[in-house]
Amino acid sequence: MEKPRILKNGIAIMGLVIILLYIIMIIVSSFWLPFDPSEMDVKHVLESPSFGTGHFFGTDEFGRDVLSRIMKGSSVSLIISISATALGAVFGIMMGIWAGFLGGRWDNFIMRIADIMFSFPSLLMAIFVMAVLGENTYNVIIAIGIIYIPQFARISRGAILSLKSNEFIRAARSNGAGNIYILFRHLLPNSMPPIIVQVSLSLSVAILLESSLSFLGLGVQPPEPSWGNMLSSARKVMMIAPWTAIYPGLAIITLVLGFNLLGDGLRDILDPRLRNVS
Amino acid sequence: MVNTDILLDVQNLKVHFPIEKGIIFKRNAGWIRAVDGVSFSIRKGESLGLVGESGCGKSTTAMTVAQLQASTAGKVFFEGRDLSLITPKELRRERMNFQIVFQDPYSSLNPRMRAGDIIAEPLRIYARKKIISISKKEVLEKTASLMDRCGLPSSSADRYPHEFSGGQRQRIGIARALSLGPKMIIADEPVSALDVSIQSQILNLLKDLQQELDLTFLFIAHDLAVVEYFCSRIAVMYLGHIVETADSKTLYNQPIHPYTRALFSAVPLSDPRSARKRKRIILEGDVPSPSVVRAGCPFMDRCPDVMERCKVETPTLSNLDKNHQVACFLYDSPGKER
Amino acid sequence: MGKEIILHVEGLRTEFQTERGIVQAVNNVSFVLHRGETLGIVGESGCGKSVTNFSILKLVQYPPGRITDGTVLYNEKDLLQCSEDEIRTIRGKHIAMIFQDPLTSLNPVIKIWVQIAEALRLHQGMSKKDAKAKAIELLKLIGIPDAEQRADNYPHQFSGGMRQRVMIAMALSCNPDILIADEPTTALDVTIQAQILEIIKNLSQEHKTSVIMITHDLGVVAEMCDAVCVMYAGRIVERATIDELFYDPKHPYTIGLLNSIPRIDQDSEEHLHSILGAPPDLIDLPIGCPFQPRCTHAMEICAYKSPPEFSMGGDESRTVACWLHEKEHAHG
Repeated sequence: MEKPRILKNGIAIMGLVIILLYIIMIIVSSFWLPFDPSEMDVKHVLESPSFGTGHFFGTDEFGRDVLSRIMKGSSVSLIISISATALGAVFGIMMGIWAGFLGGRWDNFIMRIADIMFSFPSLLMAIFVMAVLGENTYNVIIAIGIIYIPQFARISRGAILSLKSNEFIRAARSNGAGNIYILFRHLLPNSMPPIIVQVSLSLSVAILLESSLSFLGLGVQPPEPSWGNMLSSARKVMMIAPWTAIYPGLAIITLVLGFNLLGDGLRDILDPRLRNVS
Repeated sequence: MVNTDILLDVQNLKVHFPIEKGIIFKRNAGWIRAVDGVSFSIRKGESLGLVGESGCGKSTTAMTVAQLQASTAGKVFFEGRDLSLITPKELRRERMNFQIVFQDPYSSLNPRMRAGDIIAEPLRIYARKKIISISKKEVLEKTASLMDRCGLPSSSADRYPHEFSGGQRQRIGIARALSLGPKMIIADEPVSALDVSIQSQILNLLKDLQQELDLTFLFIAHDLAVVEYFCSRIAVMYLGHIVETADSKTLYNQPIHPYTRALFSAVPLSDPRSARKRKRIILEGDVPSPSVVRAGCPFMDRCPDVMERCKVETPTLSNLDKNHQVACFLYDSPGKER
Repeated sequence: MGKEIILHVEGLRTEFQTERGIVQAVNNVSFVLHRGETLGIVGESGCGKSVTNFSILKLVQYPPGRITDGTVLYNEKDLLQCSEDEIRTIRGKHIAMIFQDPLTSLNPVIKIWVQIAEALRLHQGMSKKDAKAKAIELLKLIGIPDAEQRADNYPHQFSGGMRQRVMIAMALSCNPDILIADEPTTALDVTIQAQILEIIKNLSQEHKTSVIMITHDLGVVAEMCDAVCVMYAGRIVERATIDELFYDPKHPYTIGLLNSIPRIDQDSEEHLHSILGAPPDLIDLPIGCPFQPRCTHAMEICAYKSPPEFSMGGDESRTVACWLHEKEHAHG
């Protein structure tokens, strides 16, 4: 049995390891946390990180354990990022394939809609959607997903268009293949690499968007912890208790880095020309 | 013209592409007349070469004959059947009879499919559509024998296209084209992307296959030497028109049309002594754009022998003798020989 | 020979670092170019013919490429030892290059005459007005109709053949001693190719410019060149004058190559001769002669020892790198 190609790529492994660590953390946090993340403790407000008290990352302004809140928040962040990316990818890819494969009027119509959506800065668009839908966790998913739709549409359309002019598509037609067959047998498998890379990058951007929305008070609502609203509340006490901001910030940075590394690695791995080269 | 010997008959074929302008509201800003009234026929077992420079419409003609490009006007008869009148279902059945070998051995193979699957793909499609009945085992046997026939090691069926050299990839493309047992092969510049030493291997393979399987060829190329070697008859195209057609020996020995003469004399000879001796005809200028509609002969602005008549009338192909047609006013009247 | 040597390449080696290992793209290549001579370097893709000429002008990208050994003597100066500044004045002014793809070699947003004039102003310090006049004169020389008007065009308004002519005009703007033409007509149609070759031929005769013609097309070699080097897998396997090469080829590769091209001026036989197999992978070259796996004359020695270049009859300009011709060398 040949070694999976992902294991030969150092960058991808690093990304994968980081993401795996977070997944382990989420699993652990679902049945064990050092402290109750929403229990306030007036006796231990803004305590600095120490091993003696058991608060490894210190406590916040309500005496809640920062580590427990980061662990709890990680599952919220990851669920939002995965669901939003899935939402954007499914609808975006469908639109993109539709536009790229049929071309002509359909292409024009779909891509102009995508252009209009593109013309809004993504955070502004998210704020707008949140304002319309109301502030809760599910709506964060919808807001980020909507931002992603035109991005996925554009990428999958581009991939389909560049593949469509290949001679093997013509060859298949001359061999009696129909549209559906060509789409699923020839076009989709070959357009996966750019889409998969886009997925991994979207996952990381979703983390940042969720944090930004929560930081602005539009995303996940307290007392439920998320990395973004932890940073938001840490703003007031950051000068005297920097750990309240540093640790959630680090959590965001490392997970985003993990997804980006994985995306970079996948880009190399999925290039068929680099496959099976002895 | 009821001739049972004729396999393919193309009559007054025209393919015009619209030029679109505007981003949101597309409007038609004219037409590119890629193929503008082309007629030819190919007898069974014959190989017709279509030569000309880039943009002359030879590839478009081939793709239209292969029913991969819609025509604007004209008819394509295959074994006497008008391909524009049959249903899509009948067309799919008819496609088994004419298959294509493509130019680019890189883009003509799906990089994610193994060589064996690429060759077997047509068989599998037709089996699923219930047009042919073939078992899975027979597909594998057929694939193996095709690979063997085309000079590919049978052990390489599991390999991906990028693991093959350019020449071997072209062999995969040829094996795929043969899988359905076609009567005619449309070869669109099959060797122009290959190195010299590989080119001859592929040409030899095609020639062997032609004899063994009694294939008919429509062979598209810009390399006159390759066409002259491979084909029994040649049609020279310029700006969407056929300007001269003859069997290859006649065409080389007595080219008639001024364009054909210039084309042959422009080919570099791999023989320094005769290269020094001969007088080359160097044409002035470039091929005009096929989007400009003009009266007269398509070659009039580069022709060294241009006459007043050429600027107003378009010459049509007329017989010099049974095997030699030319579209030029210099040779219009039957009594006037060179 | 009595002819003036203008460029002397000796023992040139260029290698590329790739993920799979080191590729010896140019392996101990030596040749001389005389004044006014047209030298052909012919070979199939990947034989190192283009890299050889990039190396001469130190245009090899580092990394991954590296010139590891050799000298390139031009006017008694070793170009490989020159500083970046020195070599930059030599490029364009004394040694000019034209490439295969005339579209990517021209800047799409600058007018044609400005691009030609740039070289003139840079190397000859001409005023803008003089440079424009000279540019138009050059365009006329290479047969661009309505040169005065067309000079104000942008590259996309020119056809492929016209763009290649502009490249030639730019290359010749400073009357270089040497013109390196890297597959100059490969992207062009035959009638346009004939125009371009005619221009290069006439200009080299008029100005005594030496030309290095890199091509895969033996027909172009036969039409253009005085002498030829045949390259295979990074080495020169045969060098000869044009007539010697075509009428008395020695190396089995050259013979195979000449026999495998369909000849328009000869009646076609049933089969073309063809060389078996494909050119070797430069990463794992065979130990002995690189052509040995495809050679029908391969002997025992070919498998383990790479042949040096044997000169025929003591003539340094007629060499064959093949063990079959060892004797002729010794007796010569």
